[in-house]
Amino acid sequence: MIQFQNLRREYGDLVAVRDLNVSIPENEVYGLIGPNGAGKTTILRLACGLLTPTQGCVTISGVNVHKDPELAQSHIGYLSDFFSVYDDLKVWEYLDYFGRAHKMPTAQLLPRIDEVIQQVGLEVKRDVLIRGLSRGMKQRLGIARAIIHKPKVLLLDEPASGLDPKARADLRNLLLALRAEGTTVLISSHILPDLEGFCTSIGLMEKGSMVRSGKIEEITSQESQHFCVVRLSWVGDAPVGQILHSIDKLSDIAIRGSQGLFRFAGSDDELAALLQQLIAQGIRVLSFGEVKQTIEDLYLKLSRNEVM
Amino acid sequence: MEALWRNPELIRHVRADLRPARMATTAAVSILLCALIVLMFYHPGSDPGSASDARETRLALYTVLVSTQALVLCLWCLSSCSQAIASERNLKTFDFLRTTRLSSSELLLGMMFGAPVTAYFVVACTMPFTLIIGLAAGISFLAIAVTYAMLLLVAVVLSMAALTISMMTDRPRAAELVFLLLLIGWPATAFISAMNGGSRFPGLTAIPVVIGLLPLYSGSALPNEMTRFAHVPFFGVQVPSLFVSIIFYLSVGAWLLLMLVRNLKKDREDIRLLSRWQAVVFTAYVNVFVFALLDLRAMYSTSSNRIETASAADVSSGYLALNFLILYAVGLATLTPPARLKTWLRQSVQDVRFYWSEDGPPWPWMAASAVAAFLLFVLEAAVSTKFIPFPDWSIPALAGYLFVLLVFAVRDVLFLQWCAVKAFQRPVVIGALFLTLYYITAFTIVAFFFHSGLAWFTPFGVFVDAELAAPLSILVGVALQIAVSAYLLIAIRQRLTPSPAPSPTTAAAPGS
Repeated sequence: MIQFQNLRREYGDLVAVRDLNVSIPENEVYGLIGPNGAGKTTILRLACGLLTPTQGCVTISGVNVHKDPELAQSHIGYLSDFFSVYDDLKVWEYLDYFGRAHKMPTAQLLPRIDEVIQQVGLEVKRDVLIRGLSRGMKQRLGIARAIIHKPKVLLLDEPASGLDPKARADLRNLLLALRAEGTTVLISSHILPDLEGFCTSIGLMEKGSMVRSGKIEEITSQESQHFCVVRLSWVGDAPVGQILHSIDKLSDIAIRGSQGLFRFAGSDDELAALLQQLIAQGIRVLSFGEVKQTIEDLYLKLSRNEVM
Repeated sequence: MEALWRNPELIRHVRADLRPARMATTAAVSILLCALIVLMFYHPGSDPGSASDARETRLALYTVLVSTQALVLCLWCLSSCSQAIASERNLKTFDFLRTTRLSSSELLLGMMFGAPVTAYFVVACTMPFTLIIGLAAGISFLAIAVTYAMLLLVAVVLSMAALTISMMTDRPRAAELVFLLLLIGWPATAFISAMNGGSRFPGLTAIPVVIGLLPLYSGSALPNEMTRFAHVPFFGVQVPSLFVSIIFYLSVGAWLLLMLVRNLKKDREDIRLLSRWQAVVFTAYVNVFVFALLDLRAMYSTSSNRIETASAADVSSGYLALNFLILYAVGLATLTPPARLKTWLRQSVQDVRFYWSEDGPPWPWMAASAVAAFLLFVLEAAVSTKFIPFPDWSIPALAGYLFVLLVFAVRDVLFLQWCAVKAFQRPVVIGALFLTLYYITAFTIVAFFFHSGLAWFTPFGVFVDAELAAPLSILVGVALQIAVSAYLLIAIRQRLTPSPAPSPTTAAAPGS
C-alpha cells in the first residue's frame, strides 16, 4: 500500500532521511517512532507529496506520489503536527470545502460530511464557526478533514499532541474504526503509550535511518529470543534477592519491597522450572509472570537515543 | 465560467467574506459612498447651468466613480493577493491545500478572484450607478463595457503579480509594500515617459491604460499633451494605444500565469519561476516587446529643442543595458536549489547534455539567453535598415560587448549560487548585499585610484568611451572574471561533494 524506495531527503549538509526502503501493507497501522529530529515528519511530508525527495520515490496504492500527485492525493489523508483551520468558516463548510477540493461528487458530499462529523463527535458543533471551537475540537476537525474523502491511506503526524486523555481515547477508537474499514495508517508519535493497542507495526527512526521495522509481534519475539522480563511478587520474609542472585540465568535483578523484576534467558520450560525452583526454596509466590513488552520498552531497548 | 463558480477556493472565500450580514453592510456602505459622491456634484446649491454643463458634470462624476472603483479594486487585489499564499503558509493551512486534488490552475483561479472577492462585490454594487450616470452623460455602452473589461484585465494581472510575490515570500507585509511601490511607480514612470517629447518608447504610455481608453469617450476632452499618444507605434505601425495595453497585459499575464501554475503547489525551496528553456524564451519576449515599442523615426526632442534621428550607438547601449538586466533576471530565475545541484553533481553523465539539465548550474542558460538576445538584435537591425543602415550597428562589436556583460553577469550569479550552497539563511538577499558592497568598493577604487579598474572590475566599461575603458582593459576584465567564475564553480563543487563517509546500508541507484 505504501512503499518507500531508496528514499532520501537532504537539507543542505543534513541527511534527514537516509536511503529508506520500507513497504507497509494494506490495512496496517504503522507507528513511526523515534527521537526529535529523527526524520519522522520528513517521511510523512515526503509520503504526502509536500516535499520532493532528493532521491528515490514513494508510491501509494501503486501511484508515484511525485509523478502523479493529483491521483495520489485521492488516496491520501494527511494531518500535520501543528496546523490552523479557517476560523471564519463553519464546521460543515470547512469539510465541504475539502470535500470539493478532493473532487467528491456533490450528491455524496453532504451525507459524507454528516457521517464524518458524527465519527469525530462534533455533531452539536456542525453549524458553529470554527473560531468558537476548543483546541481538542479543532484537532478532531483536522482528522475529519483528513478522512472526508475516504482515503485509503492516512498519514498522521503527532495527532494526539495537545489532546486531553478522553480525546486521546476517542482518537484511538476512531483510528481502530478506520482500520476496521480497511484504512492503512502511518502515524508518528512521541507519546508511545498512545500507539499501544492499535499499531500493528512499528518503525524506529534514528538520525534519518530506519533502525528497525516490522510487525510488533515479530520484533517482540525476536527480542524475546534472548531473554524475557519476569515480574515476581511474594509474601513472607524469604531472602528472595539472595536466591535470585544465586540463579545463573537471571540478570538485571531489581527488588522493591515484596516485588521483583528480572531478566531471564531461557526457554518456556526453563521458566516453568524456575518457578518450581523458587517455590522449592521456600518463597511463597503470590504472582509470577512474563511482562509483556510495550512499544515504549521496545523503543528503549532498540533505540540508541541518537539525534541529529 | 461554471468552473469559476464551482471552484472550492472561491466558494470558501465567498462563504467567509460575504456572509449575509457582512454583504448587506458592505453593499450599504458602498452605495452610501456612491450617493455621497453624487451629492458632491449635485448639492442643492449647485447651478445646473446649460445642457452642455450638465453633461460635463455627469462626465466628471462618471470619471470620479470609475477611478474610485479602479483604485479600490486594484489596491484591494494587491493587498489581499499579496497575503493570500504567504499567510496560509504561516498558518500551515497551505499544506492541506497542496494535499488536495485541486490543480495549481484551479487553486490559482480561486485565489485570484476569491481573495479580493469583497472588492469585486463593492465594484458590482456601485456599477449600476456608474452605468446610469455614464449613459446619461452620453457615453456609449461599448465604452463603459470596454473600460470595465480593461479594469478586470488589469486587476487580474495585478492579482497574479501579487500572488507570485506571495508565493515566494513569507513576509506578506514586505510584499505588500513592494507592490504598492510598483503600483505607484508603474503608471508614474509611463506618464513621465509620455510627457517627455523625445522618448523613443511612446508605447509605454499604454501601460496605465487610461490614455488608450480616452478615445472611446468621443466628445470628452482629451488633454492636448496626451492626444498624440492615442495612437502609438508598435513594430513601426501606428496602432491604438488600447491595443498595446491589451497586448502588454495579456502577455505579462501569460508569463505570470505560467510562473504560478508551475510553482503554486511546490514547496518554497523547490520554486523556480521558469524552466530553463522558458527563461530563454522570456529573454526573447522582452527583447521583442521592447523592440516593438521602440520608435526609430526622427522626432522632435523637447530636451534639445530640435529634430533628432535615432542613433545606432544609443539604441545599442540601451539594448546592452536591457539585456544585462535580463541576464541577471534569468540567472536569478534559474538558480538551482542546493539539494538538486548536489544530485546533479552525483550523476556521472559527462556529455554536453549534462550541462543543459534543469538541475545544473544556471550559466549555460544565461549564455543561451544571451545568444537568443543577440540573434534577435541582428534580426531587428536587419528590419530597421529604413531608419539606420545595417553597417552602422557594428554587430561584431556589439557581440563582444554582450559577451563581456554575460561574463560579469555569470560571475555575479555564480556568487549568488555559491551563497545558496553555503546555506546562508537568505542567500539571494545576502549575496546581493555582498555584491552591492563589492560594486561600491570597486567604484570608489576606480574614482580615486585606478581608472582602468572600471573595465577590470565592473561591466560598465562597455558603456563608456575608449578613453575610460580601453579594449585591452576590457579584455583583462573578462579574463579576471572568467578566472573568478572558474574559482566559484570549483568552490560550489567542493561544497556539494560529500566527504568520504561509511557506505550506506542500502545501495541506491540514482533517481530510481
